[in-house]
Amino acid sequence: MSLWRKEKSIIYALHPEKIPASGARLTYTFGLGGIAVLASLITLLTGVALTFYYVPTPSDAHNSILLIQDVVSFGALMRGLHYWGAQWMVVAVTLHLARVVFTGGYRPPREFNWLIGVALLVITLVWDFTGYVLRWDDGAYWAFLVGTNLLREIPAFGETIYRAIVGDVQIGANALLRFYGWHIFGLTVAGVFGVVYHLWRLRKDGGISRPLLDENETREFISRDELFFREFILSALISAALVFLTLIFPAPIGVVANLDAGVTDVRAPWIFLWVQNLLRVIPPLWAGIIAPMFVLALIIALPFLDRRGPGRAIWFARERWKPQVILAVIALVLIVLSVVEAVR
Amino acid sequence: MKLTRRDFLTNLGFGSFLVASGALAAMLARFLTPNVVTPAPGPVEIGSPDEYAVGSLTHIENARAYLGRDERGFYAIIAICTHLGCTPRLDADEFVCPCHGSRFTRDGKVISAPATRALDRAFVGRNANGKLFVDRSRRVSGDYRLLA
Ligand code: HEM
Ligand code: FES
Repeated sequence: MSLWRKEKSIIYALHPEKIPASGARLTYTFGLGGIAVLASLITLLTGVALTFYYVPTPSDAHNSILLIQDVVSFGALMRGLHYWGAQWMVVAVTLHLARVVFTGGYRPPREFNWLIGVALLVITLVWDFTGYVLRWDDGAYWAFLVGTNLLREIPAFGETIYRAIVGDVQIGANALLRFYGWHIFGLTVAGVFGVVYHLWRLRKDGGISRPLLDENETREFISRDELFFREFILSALISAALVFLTLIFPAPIGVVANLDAGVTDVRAPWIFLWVQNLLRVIPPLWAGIIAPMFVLALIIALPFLDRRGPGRAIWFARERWKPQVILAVIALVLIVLSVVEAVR
Repeated sequence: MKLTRRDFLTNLGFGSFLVASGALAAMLARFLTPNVVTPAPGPVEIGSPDEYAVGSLTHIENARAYLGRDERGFYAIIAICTHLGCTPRLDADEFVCPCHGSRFTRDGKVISAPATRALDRAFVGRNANGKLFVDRSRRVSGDYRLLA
C-alpha cells in the first residue's frame, strides 16, 4: 500500500494532462497569474498566524503589532511575509492584467474571465487598503480618515454609504472592527472564491490563449509533470525572494495615530498616491470617486474594443492597438501622478 | 401561450428565490447601518479667561481646536480641515493641512485650495465656576465671540 499515488494526488486534479508549450513559455505569461496565486496563498497563511496576536481595537491594535514585531518568535517574519506578500500580489495582479492586454489574452471566449479578473483586481486593492488600516499608526489613520470621508462626497447617498461602511458617524472602534471583519473574512471569502472561479474558467475557456497555427505547423505540448515542475521551481524562487526581502526590509510601522496633534506630512499608501495627488488639484468627488471609477470602467471595457481578427496571443500585435494604447496611457498617467506625489 | 403546471411551478420557484434574495440583500444593507453611534463630543473645560492673552491663539488638547482671543473676546477654531477632515497644524501664522496642502489664515479663512470653506468655529462659553469651555458639537459663525 502506498499513500502517495501520483495519479490520485491533488496536483493531478488541479492540472490538465498537457498544455500547449506556447502558453507555458515564461516569456508569454511571465508566470504572473501564478505568482499572484502564490503571493495570495502566502499572504493568506501568514495572515491566519497574525490573527492569533492582533487585537482590533483602537487602544491595542498598534501595540499588538509591536508585540508581533518585537516579542513573538518569528513574528517579524510572519508579518513581513504578510506585508510583502500583499505588495507582490498587487504588483503581480497589475502586471498580469497588462500582460493579458498586451498579448490579447482577453479575446473571446476569455472576455468573461477578464471580468472575473477585474473583480479580483478590485478585491486585491480593497484587501490591501483594509489591511493597511489595521496598523492604526499615523499613516494608516490619516489614509483611513480621508478615504472614508471621500464617501461622504457622493451626492445624495454619501452619508448612508458612509455609515454602512464605517458603522458610525466617525472612524473609531466600530470602524476598525468592521475593517478587520472585511479584511480577514469578507474579502478573503470573496477573494478565494474569485481565484477558484478564475482558474476554473481558465480551464473551461480552453486554457491559456495561444496563437493560430500556420498550415504546416503542429502544436507542441508540455506534460502535466513538466508544468508542475516549472511551477514548483518558480514558486520556490519567488518564496525565497520574499523571505530575503522580508529579512532585509522589515514591514514598516509608524508611531501611533494622534488626531489632536497636527502632523507635518501625510502620505497615502503607494497604490493611492495618484488619488492623493488629484485631491490636491480637483474637487474631492472628481478626484476620489469619479476618476477611479472612470479608470475602472475603461479597464472593464478594454476587451470589448477589440474582439476578433489577427493578432491573437502575440505580444504587442499592431492589429489590437486600441486596448494597448488606452492601457498604456492609463498606466502612464497614474505612474506620473504617483511619482510626482511621492517626490514632493 | 399556455402555461403548463410545470412552468408555473418553476416560475414560482425562481420567483420566490429572487424575492427572498432581494429581501436578504435589503436586510443586510440595513443590518450594516448602525442604530447606535458615537455621541458628539461634549464641552471641554480649558481654564480661566486670564490664562489667554489678547492676540493669542492656543492649541487645546483633546478638543481638536484652537482658542483665540482678540479685542472683542474669545473664539474657538476647529482643527478639522474642511477639505477631507485631516488636522491642520498651526505653522508660523497659518494653518497648514498635511494631507493635501490646504492653507488657512490665523482666522481660519482659506488662503489656498483644495479646501474651499473656512475652518469651522466652535462655541466658547463660561461655566458656573468662571472657567472657559469649548463645545465642538455646537458650531457658531465667524463673528461669534465670548465677551471677555
Ligand atoms: C488575484 C488575482 C488574479 C489571479 C490569482 C489570477 C490568476 C491567473 C492565472 C494563474 C492565469 C493563467 C495564465 C497566467 O498565469 O498568466 C490567469 C489568466 C487570465 N487572467 Fe488572471 N488572475 C488574477 C487577476 C486577473 C486580472 C486583474 C485580470 C484582468 C482584468 C485577469 C484576466 C485574466 C485573463 C483574461 C486570463 C486568460 C489569459 C490568456 O488566456 O491569455 N486576471 N489568471
Ligand atoms: S484634508 Fe486638508 S487638504 Fe485635504
